Amino acid sequence: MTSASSCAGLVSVLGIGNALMSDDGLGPHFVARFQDRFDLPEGLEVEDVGTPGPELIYRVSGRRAVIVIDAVRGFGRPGRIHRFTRQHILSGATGTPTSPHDPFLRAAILTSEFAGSAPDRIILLGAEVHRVRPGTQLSSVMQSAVPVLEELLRAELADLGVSVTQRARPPIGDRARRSRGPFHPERTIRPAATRSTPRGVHPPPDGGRAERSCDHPPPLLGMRP
Amino acid sequence: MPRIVIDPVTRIEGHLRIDVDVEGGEVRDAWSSGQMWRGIELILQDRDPRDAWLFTQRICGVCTTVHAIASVRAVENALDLTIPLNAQLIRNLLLASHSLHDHVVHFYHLSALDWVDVVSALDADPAEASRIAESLSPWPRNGRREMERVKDRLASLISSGQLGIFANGYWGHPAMHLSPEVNLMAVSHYLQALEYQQKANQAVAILGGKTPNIQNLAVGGVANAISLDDAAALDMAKLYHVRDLLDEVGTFVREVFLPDVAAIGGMYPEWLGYGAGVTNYLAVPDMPLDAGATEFDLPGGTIFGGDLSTFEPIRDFKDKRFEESVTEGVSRAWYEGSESKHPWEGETVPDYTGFDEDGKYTWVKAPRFAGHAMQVGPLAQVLVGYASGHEGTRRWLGEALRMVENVAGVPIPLEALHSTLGRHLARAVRCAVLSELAVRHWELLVENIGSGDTDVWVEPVFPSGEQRGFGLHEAPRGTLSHWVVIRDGRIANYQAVVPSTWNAGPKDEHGVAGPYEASLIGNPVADPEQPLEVLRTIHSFDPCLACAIHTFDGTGQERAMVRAV
Repeated sequence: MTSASSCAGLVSVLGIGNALMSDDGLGPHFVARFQDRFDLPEGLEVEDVGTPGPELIYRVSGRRAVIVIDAVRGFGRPGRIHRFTRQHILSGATGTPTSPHDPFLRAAILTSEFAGSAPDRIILLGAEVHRVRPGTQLSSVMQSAVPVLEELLRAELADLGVSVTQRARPPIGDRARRSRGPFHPERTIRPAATRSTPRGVHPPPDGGRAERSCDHPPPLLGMRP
Repeated sequence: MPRIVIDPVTRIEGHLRIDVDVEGGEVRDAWSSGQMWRGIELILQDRDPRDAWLFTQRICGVCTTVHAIASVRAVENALDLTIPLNAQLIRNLLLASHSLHDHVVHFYHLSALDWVDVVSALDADPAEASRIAESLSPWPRNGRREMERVKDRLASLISSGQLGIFANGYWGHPAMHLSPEVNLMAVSHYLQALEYQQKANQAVAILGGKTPNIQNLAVGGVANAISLDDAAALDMAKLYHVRDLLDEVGTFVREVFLPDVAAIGGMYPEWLGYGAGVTNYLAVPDMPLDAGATEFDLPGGTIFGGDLSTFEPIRDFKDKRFEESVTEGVSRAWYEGSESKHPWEGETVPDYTGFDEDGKYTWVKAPRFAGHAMQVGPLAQVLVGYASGHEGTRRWLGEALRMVENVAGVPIPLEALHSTLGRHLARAVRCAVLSELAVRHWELLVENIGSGDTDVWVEPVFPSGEQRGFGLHEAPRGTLSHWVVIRDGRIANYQAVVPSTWNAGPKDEHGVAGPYEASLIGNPVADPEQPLEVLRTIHSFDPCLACAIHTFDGTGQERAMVRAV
């Protein structure tokens, strides 16, 4: 049924957060910007996973390494960036079970360990929130943390032997590549009037993501040692 | 009389607090207090209605597709727009795939640990576990070796001293009744379910471009370019991939999920007698079969007082009775005022005044249908299906009840469905029905494309002046409706009445309890310090109160609190 996983060796960067709640949306905002700015090599996936539930388990399973980008609270000055290892994430030090988010990141790690398909490395890079309330923009404090976070992420990736190259300036009029944030609210993909092969209908910029990610789930009861 | 406060309820989506008063070993009164997403109208004010779905789908990270679909339908309804048949069918496939994913996850990864004692599985005889599993189902992955492997994994997890995902469970609780072998079987299926929920989600991702937060919708249809020969579009390779995934997931649903729920139902038959609560049921029609959405493969309607003869249909996406009957009340919720309002007139002016069990005690409004509290979700969907004569629902419900009877050894009447276990059973029945409808709608789509129709979208035109619309969708947790007021092409008001609002809502101004609250009355509680039974009933609803935030929290708050006072 499932062959040796095409996830084996994959490094995943997962942006977590609610893009409707200003600074909580750090993950999605960060990922949108990163996707616009960099070409991603084979073996690297960078995903906005929103506010996931148990499906986070299979985003983590089978990967070589997972780096989570998320807003954090309770660790100091707003905008400051912190790095958490697996032990930190699973211990009480970096959060309590009361957060609606925690059970699923922890459960994802622990379940994948139980199934024998946990990543070798899992890191959380977090920036302390300034303001969390309904809104589609990051606060300026959080916004200023983004480029710093980007450099830290590139260093983590380099440590894993993965490098990303900055994209050349997009051609004028190439709407699919213009910076758009997690909603792309200014330039929603609007299909042209229908015809058999609609002109002006681009597969969404993330189109084909299903293929770029794992096509086959890793065998969770696999034979990993 | 002990008051038990569970805050927050774990293994659900979102933040929910449940208070119960217990006397004589059972629940006498209950309060459901939730944190519900609100503020979508703030975000959407003045925006282009064509973009609303991009925002609304971020209300909830687990059910993004449902808010996207309800949103585009609300705007299409306001414009009285007919979309192409391919668009209807692709949306239907999203409904089916997403529901299959969500329900499998809910049973195995959120609820099963209420009924399955994982530690007890260590005492199981794998050969016997295999024999039992194979007697219940033809599923090929129930062999002795599989059971041994799972048992070994459990043993090394537990001997490590850290229960990992199984920590904080109710191991050894007196209300746990399964034999070690059945517990082992359940754990092996728990692991297999991880694979199958992923497959269902892959089907969503292929059609939606990605998930969560699909990209393929548009007011007027879908943005999937259909071209049988173009690998960049929705071509036959992708369509067959979707078909393969649906076939695999469907087999798992029919051969593992449904038999497991039925077996657990048969072994906990007393739980067919608790948890009824509000027995007024609401479901809306879905899976339209034609472009104009006049015929549906999933029926909608209302049932009152648990009496199926009161069934009245909800006919389509423009149903007047539905349009006129929905209100949301704030008499017991932290908003200004105390009136009930129709969603088109809805407002959200927060006014937090603290938890007052005789006054206001929740952020969740109280939706009512013609003044009645209604239970929504798979049980409502199945009962409405049954009452309307829906063939697939009747067949699978009959099959499920037979499976339960085989295990329990006693006949199970239809009335038993008004219960905690009834909700779980209905969810599995719903999945079995959807697993067949998914394939049917896939065939309809391929057939339609094969006839030469590759239309996916019509352009929406916004006249000046005001239009009002509502968008309906039967989400995994029940009836979802989005309500929009458009003025001169911009959003003037927007309200979402989500299924968990119907179910988790508080008492209304007449003191009539919401479904969670009512379902808890009469629940046994063997040990107030370990209120497993309360969790069983609440989890049976599959609560989703929207993870409004996902900030990693280090503020040193107390651990999840279960307090018996």
